[in-house]
Amino acid sequence: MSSIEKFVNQQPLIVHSSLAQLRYLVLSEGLPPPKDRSSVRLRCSVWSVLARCSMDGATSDYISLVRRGPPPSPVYSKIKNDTFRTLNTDPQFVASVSEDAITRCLSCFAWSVIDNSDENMDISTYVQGMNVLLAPILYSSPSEPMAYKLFQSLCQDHIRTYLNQSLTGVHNGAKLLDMCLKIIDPKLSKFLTDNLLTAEIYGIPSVLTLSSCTKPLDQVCKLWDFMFAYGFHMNILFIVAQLVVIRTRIMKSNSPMNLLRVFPEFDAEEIIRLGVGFVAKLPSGMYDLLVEHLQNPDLAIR
Amino acid sequence: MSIRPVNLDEFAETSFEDIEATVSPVNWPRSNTTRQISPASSPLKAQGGPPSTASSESTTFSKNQKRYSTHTESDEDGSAFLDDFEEFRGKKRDDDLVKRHFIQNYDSDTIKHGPGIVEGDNGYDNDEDELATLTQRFAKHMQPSSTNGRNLSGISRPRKQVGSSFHKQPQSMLNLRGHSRDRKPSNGRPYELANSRSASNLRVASRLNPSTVQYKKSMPALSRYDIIREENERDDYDEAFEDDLKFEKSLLQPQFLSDDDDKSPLNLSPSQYTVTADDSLLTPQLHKRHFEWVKPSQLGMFREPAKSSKPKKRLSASRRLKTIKQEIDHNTPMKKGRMVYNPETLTWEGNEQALSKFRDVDTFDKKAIVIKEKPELQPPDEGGKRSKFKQHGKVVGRMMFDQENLCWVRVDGNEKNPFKEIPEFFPRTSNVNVPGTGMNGVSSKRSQSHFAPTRESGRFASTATTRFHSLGTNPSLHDSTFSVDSKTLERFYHEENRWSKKVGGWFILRDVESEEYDADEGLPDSKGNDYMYEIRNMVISSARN
Repeated sequence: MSSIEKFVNQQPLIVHSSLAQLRYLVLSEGLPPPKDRSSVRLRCSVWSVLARCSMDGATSDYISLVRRGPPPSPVYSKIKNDTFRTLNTDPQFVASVSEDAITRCLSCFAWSVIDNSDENMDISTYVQGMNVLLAPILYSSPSEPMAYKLFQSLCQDHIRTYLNQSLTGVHNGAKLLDMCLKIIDPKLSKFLTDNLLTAEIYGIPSVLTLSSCTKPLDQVCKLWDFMFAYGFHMNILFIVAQLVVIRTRIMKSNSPMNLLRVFPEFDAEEIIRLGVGFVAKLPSGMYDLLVEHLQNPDLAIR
Repeated sequence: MSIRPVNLDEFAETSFEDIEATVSPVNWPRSNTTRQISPASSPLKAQGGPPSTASSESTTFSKNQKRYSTHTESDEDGSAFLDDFEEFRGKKRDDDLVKRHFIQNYDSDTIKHGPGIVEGDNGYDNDEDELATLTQRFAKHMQPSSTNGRNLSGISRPRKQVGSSFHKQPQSMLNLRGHSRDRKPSNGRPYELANSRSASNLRVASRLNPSTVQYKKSMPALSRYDIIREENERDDYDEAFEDDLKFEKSLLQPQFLSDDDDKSPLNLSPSQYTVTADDSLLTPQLHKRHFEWVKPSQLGMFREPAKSSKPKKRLSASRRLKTIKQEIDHNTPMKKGRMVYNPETLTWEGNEQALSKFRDVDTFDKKAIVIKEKPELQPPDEGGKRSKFKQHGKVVGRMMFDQENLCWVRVDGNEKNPFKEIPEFFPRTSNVNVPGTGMNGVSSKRSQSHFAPTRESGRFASTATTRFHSLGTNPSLHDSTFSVDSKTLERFYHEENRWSKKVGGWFILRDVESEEYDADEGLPDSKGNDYMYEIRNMVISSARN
């Protein structure tokens, strides 16, 4: 049993400080890849604790939503249009997560949004990319209800600006990606802008899905470990890091967009190391914007 | 009663193990070697006695004479032979202890006095002559045995008596044997008294019509014999068997005579002998129960006083189970309250009415565990003519319960059927892809892909494809995606409980904290977005140093 598992399984004396310790453990030791059931459970436990997402009543909530069947047909047809291709090139994911599970979770989320539509949440019942966003969670959860609950917490509490009707947070994130890249790697930034490649063109999927559209899924989970601990705003810096890793290939390429359409496979530890290193290079105002773009739907960058 | 014509060479002993060994097709043909081997594999080999050729008496019987061994245990309780055998075996260990003390007697005595051995020559023609001589000898031996008070002590423990009665009177047997050896050492006729054919002849003679009763009793054993014969298909054996069949009726005898005559309760007056304490005199069923009565007290005698109550409980529980099992095995009709056990159908009867209620549910959906609203089994009459006037149910106010359609209707009958528009919904047990709607067309696209089979085995494998479950209550929805079977549901709850056990402690204080912080921050984290600055603070501070 890893120290992180021991730590998570004991009741914290002071939740606030214990959370800080847990974050540090995630950063310094990391979680095992979701190979077996126990590691899946551990990851789900850590994510739920870090996201402050209680699983109490998750199953009964989920089942009551499942029982309602598919959401209204325009939403459901959008969901069904995407579920079958969710990470369908990843055999590990396909082997462990059924399409029905994705459909159920997304449908339940749609129902919950419909139910809470009067609460000024302004979250879409479904937008493309939610299925990919759900994929690492389903992959790292021991049961569907817990995955659903965690997904709901992520969408409504942590990246709620990303999933509104106009995806304002995602577009703000793309702008921030351009700004950060300019600060961190001006040469690469110039090369891309010279080729008319802005983050709005190449970066939207990675921003919206919190890098889960990139392979491999186990590395995505590691990346998410860090982001659940220290915040999903770090995703912008991790995208910068992914660009920096392949910068020479981009700059030598005749058609860099071909490289950027689907980011190459990455190593999470390397990306985290780079991304954390970039934090020091960012002015504090820029870091504030990174944090704020996840929470303030009215934020307008430039 | 199993009367078995046996060549002396083939059988040196008759114990329960040996019956199994000798009837096996392997052992039958090899007469001499089998005899040596089968006792070796038997835990009772010493008790069963040495091969007949090795003992001094064996010479008497080695002249192609046949023995008729009577299996006492199967006689007493033929239908439950195996059950008895189990109990008997346990008892044999006790016998082993006794045996050590009397080992010398065994060597010579068991052939003649062993349990359930009835011996006799094949001089069927000489029966009349023998009868006279044997009657005399029998009477002689009956005299001391009837006055022998020691036998009563043996009878007081019937379980012991059944298989090993001869252990208890080793001395008396010795005496008997001593007499006979002195008298007729070389005579071909059997001289042993207890199990001799003369004893049986006496009995036969004393009865007017012995054949009918005894023939019945021997039937199970005969049928067993036939099976063996078919397996072996040995001509020589068949012939021998045919010959032996002739003796069968006259040589049969009840099991209580097959034992040592010294002890036979028939020789005692009722005042000297308690009938219920003797297994051999009881019917099989009574015998069985008798075992149950005696056993606890016997065990109690050997039980250590300082034992904790735990093993005691276990013992009584297991014994109770055994009792029930045995009763059922015996095809005994049982009655508990209003319920009657039918041994033929192996069912309890008497609650058909109560069961019929469940049967209706079962036929509808056997796997239903969550039935929120039970669809009507019988469609409401479309014509609007309800059967309410035929089947009057409860009337509450102006509403009346329609027992046929299981719904409440107005007494005055001015009511529209709200379910008229809704088509009938019958759950299908087979997994059929629902054609039609565009969304489902998309779903089949993936499920038909080559990934589909592997997905089924995944952690979130669609259970709907393997089993239908009526969790989705929307009758118009046939989409199996939204049906979760009970097994999956159980797993969901299991995982949630597991989570609560492991990390639920992290959320106990949340309510207190949320009161303070949730007002201004939507984030459930107590400190809002502070944690998002943690990494920056760490990086900045490390860069300074």
